Amino acid sequence: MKRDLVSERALPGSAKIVMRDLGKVFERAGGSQNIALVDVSLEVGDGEFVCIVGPSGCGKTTLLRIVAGLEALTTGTLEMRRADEESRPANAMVFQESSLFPWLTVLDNAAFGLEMRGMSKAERFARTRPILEMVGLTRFEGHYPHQLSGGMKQRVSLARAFVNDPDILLMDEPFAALDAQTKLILQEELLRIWETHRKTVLFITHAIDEAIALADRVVVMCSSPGRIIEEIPVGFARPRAIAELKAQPAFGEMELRIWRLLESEVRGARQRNA
Amino acid sequence: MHSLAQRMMLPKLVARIAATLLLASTAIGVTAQPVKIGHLGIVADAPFYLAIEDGYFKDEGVDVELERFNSAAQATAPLSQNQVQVVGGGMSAGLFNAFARGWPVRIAIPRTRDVPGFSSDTLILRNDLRDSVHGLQDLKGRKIAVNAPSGALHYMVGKMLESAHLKLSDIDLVFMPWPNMGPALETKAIDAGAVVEPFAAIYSEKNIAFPFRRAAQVLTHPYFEVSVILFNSDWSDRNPDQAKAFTVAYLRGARDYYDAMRGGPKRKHVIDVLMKYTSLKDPAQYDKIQWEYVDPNIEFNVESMQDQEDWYAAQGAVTKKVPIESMIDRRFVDYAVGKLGRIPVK
Amino acid sequence: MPRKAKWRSTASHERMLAIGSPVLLLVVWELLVRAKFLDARFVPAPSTIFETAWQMILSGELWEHVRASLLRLAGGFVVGVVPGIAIGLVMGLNRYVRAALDPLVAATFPIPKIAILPLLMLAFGIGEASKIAVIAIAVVYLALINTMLGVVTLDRVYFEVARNYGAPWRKLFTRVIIPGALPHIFAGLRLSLGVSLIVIVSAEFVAAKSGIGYLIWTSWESLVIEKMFVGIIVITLLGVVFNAILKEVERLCIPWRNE
Repeated sequence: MKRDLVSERALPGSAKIVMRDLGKVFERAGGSQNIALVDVSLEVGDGEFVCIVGPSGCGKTTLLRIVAGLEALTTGTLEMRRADEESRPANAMVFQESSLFPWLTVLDNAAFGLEMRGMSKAERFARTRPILEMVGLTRFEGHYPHQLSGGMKQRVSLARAFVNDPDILLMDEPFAALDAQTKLILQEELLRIWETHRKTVLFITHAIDEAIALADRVVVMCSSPGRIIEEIPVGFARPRAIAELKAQPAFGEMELRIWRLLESEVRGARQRNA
Repeated sequence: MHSLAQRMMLPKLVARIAATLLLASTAIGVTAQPVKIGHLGIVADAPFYLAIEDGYFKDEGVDVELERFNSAAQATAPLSQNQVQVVGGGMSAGLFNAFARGWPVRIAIPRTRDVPGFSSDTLILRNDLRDSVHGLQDLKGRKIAVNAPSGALHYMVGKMLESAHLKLSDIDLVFMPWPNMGPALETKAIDAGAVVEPFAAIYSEKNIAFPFRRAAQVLTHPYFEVSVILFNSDWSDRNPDQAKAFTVAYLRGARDYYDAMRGGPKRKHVIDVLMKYTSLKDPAQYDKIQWEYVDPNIEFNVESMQDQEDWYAAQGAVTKKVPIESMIDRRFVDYAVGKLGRIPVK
Repeated sequence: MPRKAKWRSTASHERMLAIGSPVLLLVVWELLVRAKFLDARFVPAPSTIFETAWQMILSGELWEHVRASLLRLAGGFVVGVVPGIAIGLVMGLNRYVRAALDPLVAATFPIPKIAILPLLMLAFGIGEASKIAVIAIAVVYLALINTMLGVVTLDRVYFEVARNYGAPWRKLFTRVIIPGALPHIFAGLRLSLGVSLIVIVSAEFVAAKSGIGYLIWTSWESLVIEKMFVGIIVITLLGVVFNAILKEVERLCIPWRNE
């Protein structure tokens, strides 16, 4: 995958990720094109928790994958500020469910990033166990993924990303497949862990309430073509108690506001496709 | 996942077992129906073909049907089930074991024999060994191919070695079908092969191997009784008249073959019929091979048969020895020769 | 603990059935022969078959044949499975190799391996090599196809995780691709085992003077039917034993499979 349109160097200010006029076009077999992203410009600050929210097909996952280096961008630029110690990995991604290796135990899965970087067994287990304790899975470290529930598996995925100690955390709808109660618990756990290190996070979701509850800033995208329509700062204080936060009227107002933004776009799209 | 032929092999065997399991317990119905003849498409089956072509069966009022098999061993089980009534088969351990098991079959007519000038069974030797191997004793330690264990050619090789005071363990015996022996000889994988005609002639023509010893050169007292005609005894016991009539027609065909064999006027006709029914389609080939000997008076060579049974038993291939006379039902040859008369034999 | 006891008795019930049904079959068979419903001239009773087997064991004859077949089996299995897995891995990972070889594999796979045995005998001689070759050729396809499938059907997300977490090629291979493909590889091994048994028996019908296939075929041809059954039973037992061993090995290698 070529990243020749990207430069990784020190950027001025506290910006961690800078995208300018980023565009992505997929060439389909048979010559037709799929314009996934158009003119995406976004800056993510160091230590900022940014949520991208939008309907299915708005290109948010594509955007995340471009930042992760799993896809190439077609136009525009993407710049990322690297920390001085280059040994740290640039980013770690938390995928949707079923990304744990079935043939590795919980401990081995969580330590995977360290293993790939050549760390010894003793050292990587020493680094992984505290994180596993943070997500409450110490008792299960010898278990295999098939023995875990969906929520537990995503906890391991989170642990894996955190253990790897990356510059940037990328999360692709990690809680989408979980039930409402587990989702709430994991959201609070994510924030709790994030508080300890305050890494830069880019979090994708289609759930508006989740985006507001977690983020410092919500970026709203819509589809056809995929683009940013608005960025909304979220001012709620940290640390946040999510359940209580949702009961506040300010929360509901923000949710409604974002929904209104999307609603016209989504309804319009449905009419066009009808 | 496996190829069709592989899948056929073992299930074929299983199917055979299943068939015998099913049929073994059913009563064997016997009526005056057409006589089914199991044949192999070889020269030794000539009397059947001649009797069909020249109307001898029709003259005797016998309806016949031909049923093709790949080997005599393959035909023995259907014969025992009366699915075919008549089969020509080589003398083999299998035949003796069938009698030992009490299968309802009888030796009814003698068939072919190896005598000088008419000895199809041959030990062929690689051309390049012509100078180093003079006598049978020089075969010691050599690799000799036989088509199948416990059959006529296995016996022949054993007897040939015995005549030179050798045992089968003194040579390296391998088994392979006759068509494979040519390439094996060419690549020097084997030194000699025990074959029947036309392979002796073919490999000689191809300059691969030459006839080293004919069976009739070594097995002289008695001459080698190679094959016999078997009847299903349930059929022949319940239809003796039909069986007798069958044998008369067979004898007429056999005598035509005998004439052709010795170069008589019937030769061309017999060759034409053989070309129709066997895979030997080249008329010139018939002059290059040695024909098998058929006795026009169809006398049994009990001494040779006994010697073979003894030999197989000594090899451990025959489990229980049965008196030869109890295997033979002479009624039919006696009737046929009685009806047609004897022919003077040179 | 009542619950544990109940589980144990279900498993032992299954074990009893597994052993009991063949035993029952043999008993019924024996009775049918003794009661003359089955003709002993054509279908020997199990008691005579076992007696023959016992004599063959005592005389060492049975071991001679088993040993010959086992050696060929082992040789052919290894010679076939190792390149089969290797090529299957390459084909699974590289689309160009796959595009190039797949049609070749598909075209040559249906060729009956027994049909090319005479050719193999020309090339490798009439000894053990040709038999090992024919088994190896039969086995290589199954190992190859199943291994390739194991790699190709591996969820792409595993590759993406590996890439995202910086896995070098060698570790991608040992920690993702091989473990991920192992279930399919073992499926290929199980099939290869079955096919080896079939092929060796067929090959020994034609071109051997020892071995279980040889025993079965010559016993049939010379109508020593008891020995033929002994041969068949031995092949069946070999299949059962090998499968059990393979299953155990699989259990050790793939502890993470959910049953």
